Amino acid sequence: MSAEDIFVRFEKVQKSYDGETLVVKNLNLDIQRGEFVTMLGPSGSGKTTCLMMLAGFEPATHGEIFLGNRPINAVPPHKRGIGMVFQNYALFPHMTVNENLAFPLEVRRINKSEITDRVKRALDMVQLGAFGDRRPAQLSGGQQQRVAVARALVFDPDLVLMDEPLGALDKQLREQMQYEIKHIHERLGVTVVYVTHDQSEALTMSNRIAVFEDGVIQQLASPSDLYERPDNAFVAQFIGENNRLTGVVKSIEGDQCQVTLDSGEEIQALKVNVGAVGERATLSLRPERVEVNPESGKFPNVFNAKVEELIYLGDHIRTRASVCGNSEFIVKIPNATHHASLNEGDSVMFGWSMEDCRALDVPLTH
Amino acid sequence: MANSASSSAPLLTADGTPLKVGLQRSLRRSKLKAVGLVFPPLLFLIVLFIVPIGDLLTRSIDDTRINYQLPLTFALIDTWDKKTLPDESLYEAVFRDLSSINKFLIKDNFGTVVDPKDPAWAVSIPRKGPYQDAILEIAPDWRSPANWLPLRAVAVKASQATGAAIDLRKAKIKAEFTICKDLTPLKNASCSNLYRELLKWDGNSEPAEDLFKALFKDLSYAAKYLIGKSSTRMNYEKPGFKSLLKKSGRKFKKVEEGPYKEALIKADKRWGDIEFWKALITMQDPNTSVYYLNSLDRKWDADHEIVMQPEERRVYVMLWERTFWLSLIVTIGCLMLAYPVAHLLATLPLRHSNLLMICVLMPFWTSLLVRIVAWMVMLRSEGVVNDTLVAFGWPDESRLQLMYNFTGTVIVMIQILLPFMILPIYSVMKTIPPSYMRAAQNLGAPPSLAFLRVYMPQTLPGVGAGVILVFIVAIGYYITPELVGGKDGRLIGNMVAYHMQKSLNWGLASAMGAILLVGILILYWIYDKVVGIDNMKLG
Repeated sequence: MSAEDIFVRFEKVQKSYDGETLVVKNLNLDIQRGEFVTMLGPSGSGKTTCLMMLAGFEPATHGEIFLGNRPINAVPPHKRGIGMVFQNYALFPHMTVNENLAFPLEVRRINKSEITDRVKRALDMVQLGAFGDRRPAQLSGGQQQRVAVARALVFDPDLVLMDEPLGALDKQLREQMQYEIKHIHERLGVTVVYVTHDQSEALTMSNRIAVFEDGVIQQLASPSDLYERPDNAFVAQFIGENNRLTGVVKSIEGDQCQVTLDSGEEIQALKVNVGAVGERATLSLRPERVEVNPESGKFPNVFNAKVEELIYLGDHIRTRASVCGNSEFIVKIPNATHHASLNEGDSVMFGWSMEDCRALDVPLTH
Repeated sequence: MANSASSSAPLLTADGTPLKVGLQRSLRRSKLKAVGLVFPPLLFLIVLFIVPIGDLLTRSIDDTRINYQLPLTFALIDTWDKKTLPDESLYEAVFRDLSSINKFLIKDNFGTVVDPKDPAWAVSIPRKGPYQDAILEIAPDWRSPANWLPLRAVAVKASQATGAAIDLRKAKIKAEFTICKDLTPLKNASCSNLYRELLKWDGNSEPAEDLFKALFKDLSYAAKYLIGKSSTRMNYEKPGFKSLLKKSGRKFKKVEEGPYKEALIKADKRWGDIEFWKALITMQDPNTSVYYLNSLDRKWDADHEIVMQPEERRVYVMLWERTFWLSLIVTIGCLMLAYPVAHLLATLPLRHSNLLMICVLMPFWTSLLVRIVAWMVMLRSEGVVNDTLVAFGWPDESRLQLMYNFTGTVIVMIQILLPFMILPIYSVMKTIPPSYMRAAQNLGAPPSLAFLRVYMPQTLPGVGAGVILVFIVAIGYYITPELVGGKDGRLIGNMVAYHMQKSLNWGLASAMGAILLVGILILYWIYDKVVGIDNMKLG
């Protein structure tokens, strides 16, 4: 990534509201032009604060934010030229949809005919061309959402911020809007910084995802990397489902390591983020990477399991079992033509490969 | 079409009754409940609000009493040319109207059209009696016992009342009033003689002299009472009428016969003044607009033209203007002070806003008088404000006159009415999320423009409610101007109170109240047209 392409840069940014605790701790983040970056994290992790600092509504306590190589800490919000979609849309209730969209153009003193033109184009983009004369209150939640997106884009900003814009919609609409936003982004090539706590939203839309926790970016990676190759136990736990086994590192050879579980078993795992031999580690294993009754010799890790519970979910069967002293061990058995059929109380063998079992750090207990 | 078929045939419930009937039946209970809940406050409203206002409005145009007083005069006054003094016939009419009780005895003359040619007008009842023959000459009906019986029934019923002594007394007084109400258009005249004599009478025998004497005495008393009341009203029209009528009442007793013109002018030379006669014309109509005209410094002249009052009697137009301007200034002052406070209240963290809210509400919890007196301590020329100014080098000899004038009224009223402005604005601001201002700035509007285009329009419903509330309260305000207003700070409200309590000119007070009411309704209507009442929010 060359310096030319970097559009937004957080440099050693810290934020504190009360002078006692840091909400954002030493944030360094580069966002490329045209990228769709999602800030993902549980509530209180500092992601919205980052967005507010970028929009200019909260001053950074320390550090500098750059927009196109220009430091913007001293630039007031209205001069930053950043579009934003707010959590509850913040459509002005006393104005019609057209007036809402015209507002950013009017304050930029663009002439009337061009305003009409651009408002119409923006509305057409979100398929609301016929709704220009309505008040926001006369629109459904999904329509309001689209108007908010159109308003954030109508003045052609280079950067658009979205603060949990889909939070108020129902599931189906949310998924539909995810695709629409994704397509708009692809079409316009605008840089988007998106904040959400919904991981499927993040995985659907983003080029890269920054996972926030405790004011720190835990991992910044593409959706597939984040899922397949989490850097630490928090990310592994937060993104997707995850079986967790804890133990002590017994030996390390190259990128492999052996971990002795608390229940005594030894497991071959990929060394990702562990300390020296003798330190504690967390093993992370995706439920869909476990095979039931594998051929002998296929996997280095094969263990006895007792089926505790079966939940039928249509496309797969979610199986809870006791493995290696962990009674919350989840396995997803795909509902394929010749899938293994299990019964509660059965004793079976579970096996998984070394690459799928990642040895990670031990998360701090909160 | 299945659709039209189903809509033409009435839908039925499961047991076959039409759906509409079923629906009404099922809703009846809740409707009854709702009516039951609403009824007591509705009754309260009607009895204590609508009825008094209606009474006030009728009082402000009611002029029937003058017509009871001068029926013969008003029947003849249209024959007068209004340029020279009236002729003998009108003088005679005035004499009869003011000195005889004939008008009560002539049937159906309760203030309406009478026949001036009726010979009964000329009959004079001897002051010392005998009364029977003279009265019967005027009103032959009184010969028959049937005419007396209803009155006797009233008296008998009251005399048979039981209970404590005070209840008996009350029943008697009530009966005396009732009898008079039957005989005259007066509500508060007492016919005690008739009451006594009617009880003595057996109800069958021919009515005797005693009864007629009682009738004469009571009607004479009622006539006196009527003159007292109506002369007050006549005095509003033309100052001097009251004393003229009082004096005439005494002097007319000596006048035995005509020519009356000479005799009346001799009794009081004001009867020779054409202005008094002209004033009579304006009182002829039982529905008068004179109170309304008076409260706008205008009156009728003899040619039925509306003219201004003489210079020295003009006061109300100035007061109306002052009231309007003061209310406007107070409203604008309140708005300017309340808006930032309300904004602070709505945006401060709860801990601080609670404290501020208590400061706003504190005046509400303090007695109005205490607050006004506190302001008097602040504002008087040796008060806190002036002393502070002097301490900072203000010249001692030119202390500010902040009280007993317009300024004082404005200052104190703004403080007193401030919560009425703050609270509605605050409650609206509270509902405006901060994200709107942020969105506006994010879209490129500098804070001032964001405020003007996005925040302020959304607060308008609260501003409208506050403005209407403060203006309406201010325009009828009374206590503050009374205490700190002095001469320059008195308002229409003070004049209403004055006419209700001191001058007892209730008609004028009612007219001013009605004008206030209509004025407020007009403002309300304008507000509805400009801003829209649906847009008003009190919380």
